[in-house]
This record gives sequence, C-alpha cells and structure tokens, in this order.
Amino acid sequence: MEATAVARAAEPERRPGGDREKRVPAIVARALARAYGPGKGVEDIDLEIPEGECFGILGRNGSGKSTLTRLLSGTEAADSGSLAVFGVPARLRGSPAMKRRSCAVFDRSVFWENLSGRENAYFFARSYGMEDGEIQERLAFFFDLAGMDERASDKVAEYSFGMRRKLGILEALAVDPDLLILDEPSIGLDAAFKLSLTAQIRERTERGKTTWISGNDPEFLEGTASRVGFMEKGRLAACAGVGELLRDLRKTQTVLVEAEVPTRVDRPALPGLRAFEQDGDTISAVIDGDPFGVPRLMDALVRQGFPIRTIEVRRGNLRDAFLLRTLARTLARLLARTPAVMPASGRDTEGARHGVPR
Amino acid sequence: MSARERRSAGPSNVFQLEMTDSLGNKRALALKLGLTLLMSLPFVLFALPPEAKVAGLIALLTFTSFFGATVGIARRRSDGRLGRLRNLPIGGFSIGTDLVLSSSAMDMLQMGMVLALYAWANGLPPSPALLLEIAAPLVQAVTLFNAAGLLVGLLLRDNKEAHLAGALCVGLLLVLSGQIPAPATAQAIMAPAIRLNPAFRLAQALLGAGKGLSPAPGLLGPMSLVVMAAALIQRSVDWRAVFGRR
Repeated sequence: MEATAVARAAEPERRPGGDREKRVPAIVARALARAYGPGKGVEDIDLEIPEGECFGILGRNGSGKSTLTRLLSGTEAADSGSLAVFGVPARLRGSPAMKRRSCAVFDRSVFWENLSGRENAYFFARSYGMEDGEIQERLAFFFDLAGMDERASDKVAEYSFGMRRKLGILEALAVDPDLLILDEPSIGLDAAFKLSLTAQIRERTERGKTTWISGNDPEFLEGTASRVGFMEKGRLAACAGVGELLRDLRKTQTVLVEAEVPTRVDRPALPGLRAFEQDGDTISAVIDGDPFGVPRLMDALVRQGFPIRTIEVRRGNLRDAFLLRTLARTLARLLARTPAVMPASGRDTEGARHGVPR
Repeated sequence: MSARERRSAGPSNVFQLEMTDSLGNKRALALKLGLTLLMSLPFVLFALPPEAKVAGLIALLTFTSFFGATVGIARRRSDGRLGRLRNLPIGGFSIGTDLVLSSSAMDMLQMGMVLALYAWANGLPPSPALLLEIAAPLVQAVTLFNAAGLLVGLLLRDNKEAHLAGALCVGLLLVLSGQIPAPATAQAIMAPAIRLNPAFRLAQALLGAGKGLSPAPGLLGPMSLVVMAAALIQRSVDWRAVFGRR
C-alpha cells in the first residue's frame, strides 16, 4: 500500500468533526507535482483531507512543505496532477467566491506598514465580505486574545516580528474561513498565544472547519492536528493519525544524555535500542518500553568512558516520530543492524516503510 | 455604533487602503511633494523659453506618473503586497483599477500643485475655462500613464528591470507627447498617436494659455473630469457604512 493510500484511508481520531460521511473532501490531490529544478519542489502527491479535519505536515527544511502549502493555497499552480479544494479544481479557484472559502497565512507576513494593525485586519476582513459590526467584534476579541489590544492602533511599521506573525494569524482567525492554511504558524509566537491558537484551531475543528498546518513544530501539531504527513525530498513519505503515532511512541522512552566533555562513543548493541544519535556532547536514543533499557544504556555508555553529566528520560512524542522519520537516512546508517526504524503495526507500518530510505 | 465610528475603522477597498498608506507616512509624503516641487522649479521660475518650460513639466509628469507606477508595482510585487492582494477574494480588475486610481490621485495632487505654481509664476489668468483646459488633459494623461506604467511593471521581473524599462519608456512617451522630436522616418506614423496623447494636449494648452489664446470648447475634457471625480468619490466612500447595511 502506498503511503498516500494510507493518507486516504486514515480517519481523524482525536478531534471530532461531526458527521464526516456527508461532507465533500476539503482537499483532494492526485499525482500533484511542481518542480523548481532538479530535486526542488514536490512530486507525486496524493492526498485526501476530509472537511473538518486539522491536518499537519512535517518535514525538514527544503522538503517541499511550503511548496505544497502554496499549491494548496492557490498562490502557485501545479506543473501536473490535479488538485481540488471543496470539489473545485485548482484552475477554477480564482473567483472571489471560491477564494472566500479559504485563507492562507504564510511565514512571511506582509502588511501595509503605514496603516495600523487594526486597519490592516479590517481591510482583510472587509475583502472577505464581512460586515462592519461583525468585523469590529471579532477583531476586538482576537486582538485581545493575542495580547495586542493596546497596540492595535499602532502602525504596523512599529510592530515586532512576533506581533506581525500574530496579526497575520488573527486576521485569518477573524474571517473564520472554511479552510485555514497556516505555514509555520508557531514561529515567533509567545507561549500564551501559541496556547490560544491551539485552542482556536481545536475549536474550529469541532465546528467542522478544515485546517492545514505546515511546520517544523511537532509539539504544536500534537496539540492541534488529527493526522500528520511527513514530507521528504518533495514527496509525501508517510501519513498517520497523531493519536496512533503517540500511542505507539508512548510505549517507548526517549533518552537524552549530556556529557561533561564531548566524547565519541559507538552505538551500543542493546536489545530494544531503536535509535541512537550523538551530536557533540549530547546523545539522543529511543528505547522500547523495556524497564531495564535505560539502565542498560547508561551502563553501556559508562563502559565506553562517556562522562555523563545529565540524563533526561521521557515518553515518546510527535517530535520523536518526526525525528525518527526525517532522520531516517542518518538513523538507517546508524541502525544498520536493526531491520526497521518505525514499529510494525497497522497503518503506521505502511508509513514507516515509506519513511525509510531505500 | 455610529456611522462615523464605523467609517473610521479602516479601509474598505484597495483604493482606500493605498491612499491611507500613502497619506499615513507624513515624512514620505512631504518628500514626495517636496521633491516634485523642487524638480519643477527650473521649469517654473527660471527664465526659459515657454517651449522648454512646458517640455520640462511634461517630462516631470511622465516621469512621476509612468515611471512611478512601473516602479511602484514592481516594489509591491517584491515586498509581497501584490501577491497578498491577489490572494484576497477581490477581482483582479478591481485591484488594478484601484491601484491606478490611487496612484493617479497622488500624482494629480503632485502635478496639480506644480501646475498651480507654474500658472501663478507665469501670470496665467485664473479663469474656469483655463482650469478646465489644463485639468482635463492632466487627469487623462496621469491616469493613462499610470495604467500603462502598471501594465509594464507587471510584465517585469524585479525592481532593476522596472527602473530600466521605466526610464526607457519615459523617453518613448516623451517622443509620443511631442516633447522630443520623433525621427523623420517615424513622424508620419507617430503623428496621430502624438495628437491623441493627452500629455501633448496638456502641453498645447499650457503654451496656448501663455500666449493668451482662448481654449476651444469640447465635451471630452469636462466628461473626463466628471468620470474621474465620480470614480474617486465612489471609491473613497464606504457606502456600506454610509447606508448602514448590516
């Protein structure tokens, strides 16, 4: 089974979105491709996202996340393949009526600098056909949510990077589109607004609105998305439900060991050691749920003369899944003696197969 | 909430957005108006032949409107504002006309100020007929050059190309406005275009006024002023707020 087929088959499991059977898919991509040159862009993307789902896309820098996001938002056209948003083919999405259904917030925030944040947001909402009263109410709420109510009347030219990011996001939240596309939304946000944004996205999902999040922040996606896709070298390498990934990863332990002085060690030959990587004075390892796995690893490191300063042991999370997949090539080299990077269970097995380099 | 409060909430279309942005930066606005005035001074105050003065003013108008529009649209594209507008649920025609209208309004303000100073410095009679004779081709020329500048700017890739192509096109437009003599071989082809060019008619009006010639009455001039005034009013007012449509 293709990883993309997994994407079609998988159903959101953590965030209820109502009666999904009656809805048209929000996004359907078939063999979608866009090339910028050799090895750049995206290819062979097959994806189906039902309406009312929050879908996250993870990948390393240059893996094609942003290209795919731009294709979905309609800011770029595909070279080949097909893409439909709410059943409307991409080439017919240019009409204002269709554009009103979706809204994209990119990592680069663009505003009219001599206008205040409120004026920028007001114009944005007006262009989406909202009425004055509603705009003012919603903007007041979202500026307050972002902690920017006192700066709403200041010119955008005076805003910090984080405030600009917040402004872009709150503009989109205020118009409440059927499809919200967020590119790297968590960059530059303070912790409080990140939490508020997480809550807003979850609330959107509960109301049956679709959200696409592209980014490098697994923790943020863990709190918002019901499914995640992993991009690798322009391809959708794997797709899995967040709950499923977490259930599986929580059987594992992630261990971070810091050394007093950088000391190179060999990967210990231990049963249940699924990943092991050394970066300077820090070792990251993923161990199966064996209660003696961590002591055995410490013993093996000490035997090799690794001067341990700190040890951090925690349950696996989406970041680990992301690292396991995106570092697959490195890990495969490191784990030459282990057969697979990801666990063999259900749909995730399919995802893992496509996540591991051939 | 009163209609006044609602009107002041923010721009309701691209024209209002651009005008608010242009007028919002006082320093940039002062520089824009001040530099235009400064550049016009030799043609307004110095003892030059009327033809040279008028040619200088037409060059300034062409540069301000055409070159300004070309570079302006290239800058909007490079800083992402054009892309942002295109992503919004607003029709492309509406975006284009609002951009032309807003930059034309700013250029009319600049050139209107320069021409008023020229009229005062050169003792032109402040009659309504003369005002109409100058204002109509000024509005036509500024709008036409802005529209052409926007189209040329859209074809170009970046700011560097916009500056180069903009400067070359300004030269061509000066030929087409009769201020730079066309090559003898091309004169027959260019003559009709020159006669239709509102910048040429503006130059003729300025020269005629200097010689005390009375302008010939026509419908096109008043019509174009009415159309421009109607367009400016239509785009400046937030009609939804005025009529309280909820």
